[in-house]
Amino acid sequence: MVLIKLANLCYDYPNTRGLDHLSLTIDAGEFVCLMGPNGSGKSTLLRILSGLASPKSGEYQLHGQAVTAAYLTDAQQRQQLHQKIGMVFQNTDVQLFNTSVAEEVAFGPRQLGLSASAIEQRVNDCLQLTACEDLRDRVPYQLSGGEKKRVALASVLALNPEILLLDEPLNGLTIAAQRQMLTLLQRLQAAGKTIIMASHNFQQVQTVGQRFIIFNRLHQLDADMSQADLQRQPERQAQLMTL
Amino acid sequence: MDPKPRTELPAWLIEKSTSTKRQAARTSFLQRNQRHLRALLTRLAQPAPVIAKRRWHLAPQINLIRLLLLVFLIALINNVTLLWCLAILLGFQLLLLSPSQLRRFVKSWFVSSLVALIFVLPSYWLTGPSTLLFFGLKTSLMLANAQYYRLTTPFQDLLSGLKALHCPDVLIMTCAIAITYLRMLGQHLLLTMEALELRTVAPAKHPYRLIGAMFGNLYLKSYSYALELYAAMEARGFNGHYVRTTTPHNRWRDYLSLSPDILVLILFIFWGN
Ligand SMILES: Nc1ncnc2c1ncn2[C@@H]1O[C@H](COP(=O)(O)OP(=O)(O)OP(=O)(O)O)[C@@H](O)[C@H]1O
Ligand SMILES: [Mg+2]
Repeated sequence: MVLIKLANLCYDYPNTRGLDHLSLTIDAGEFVCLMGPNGSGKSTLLRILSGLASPKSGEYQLHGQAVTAAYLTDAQQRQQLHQKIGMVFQNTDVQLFNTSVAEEVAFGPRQLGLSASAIEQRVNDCLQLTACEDLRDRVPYQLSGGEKKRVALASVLALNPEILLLDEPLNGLTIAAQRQMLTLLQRLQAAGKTIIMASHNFQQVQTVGQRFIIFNRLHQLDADMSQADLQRQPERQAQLMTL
Repeated sequence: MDPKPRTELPAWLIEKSTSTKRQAARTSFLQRNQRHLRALLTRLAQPAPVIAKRRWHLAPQINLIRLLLLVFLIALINNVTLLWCLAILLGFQLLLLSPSQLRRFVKSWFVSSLVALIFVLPSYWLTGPSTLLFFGLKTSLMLANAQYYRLTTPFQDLLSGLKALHCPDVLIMTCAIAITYLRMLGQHLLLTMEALELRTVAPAKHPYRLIGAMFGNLYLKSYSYALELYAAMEARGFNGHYVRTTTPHNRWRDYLSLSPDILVLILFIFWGN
């Protein structure tokens, strides 16, 4: 089932290009890795998918519904979009704005009108899944870089989004924590979530990604291939290794 | 050693989330205006436009003195003819700007004049329309000069200008940090608002508590940012003294560029009022 469809999508920042004529489709339940050198447009694509930015030209469809600037001006439609899509920012610093980690995770579910016990349940579950139980009463802005990443993921999971956009979620994590997060992501995918993850470290993601979308320096689509295809192209793998 | 997380997913996370269709609730003021606020912050966080090197590079302090002199003159002069002279002088300078710079000038001048007009407006009831017009013109002329300076002078030149005029280092540093820094904070606030927006799935019940938390966070953040910024500056050899970089420039050109203003000053002293 086609979940996301992009057609000839372009995005410009005030004085630079962000994305150049991007066309692709993503099915529900895929585990996609966005790869490419610094500044190639990975984060920009995630911003567009999440509805934070609207493309300059071209089309973005989610579930067959065009997500345009006009669509996003309606508060209710925007909120529905945000319930479907969760995003972990590249700079997690800006993402945590509550006064404690538990509050941070409870922020989303509290708006869904759940009972207090259901909210508590979700907070506990999410903190356990991301190995953050002991951070529960800490102040988010005092956490270490890796801890912030994990709390950010917990706070996004608590809303049970069907699409997870992750911008370099493994950066700053220890090898063990990286492995734990990847295992969690794989389980989420098995549960039917769609995962779109930006990364420039091929070693980290080569075993979990099922599809690789590769950008080049000119913010264009360079290649779009399945893991199996990639296995057959050692030179492409070598290129990704040296990104 | 990281604690072992639990690996099996809870039931609520496995079931497909039903997007809850809520009755069209009253959207809060914050939500309705979040987009506008974000647009405003985006503009504030925009980096200053890159300023092309001018053909005649004047000493930075001369530019600064010119600006101060002009503002001083405009504030003092009550003679319409002399004000006209100053306006025409500025008009000639504007002719030398590139079209894109000119557009930017007109825009920022217009906006700042409008804001200033709000402050000048009460004089209408106190003294009548002619005074309002006069003061309005004077203010907007001052603003035009300030905007012209802002558009044509790189930030670094302002700093070296201040240094050349023997401003204390503390003042220069405050100025430098405030200007670079407010943008950074604006950017930070903008991104936080975006994160908030992404996790807003229903009209907030207590938006003001949230705003409080957000600004509290921003304050804490700005405090640690400032310390980090200073540490980073120190680590790169900053010792509290701004050094003046001397660029070769033509002294005659400097004095020449000041001469029209000085002429107006002389006219003002002898024939003003
Ligand atoms: N806020 C912004 N304003 C102006 N230009 C921007 C902004 N954000 C990104 N860009 C530019 O847009 C292009 C794409 O940036 P993007 O952040 O999408 O890259 P990326 O692939 O995520 O890079 P990285 O691997 O470093 O995270 C870059 O050239 C970048 O300089
Ligand atoms: Mg990025």
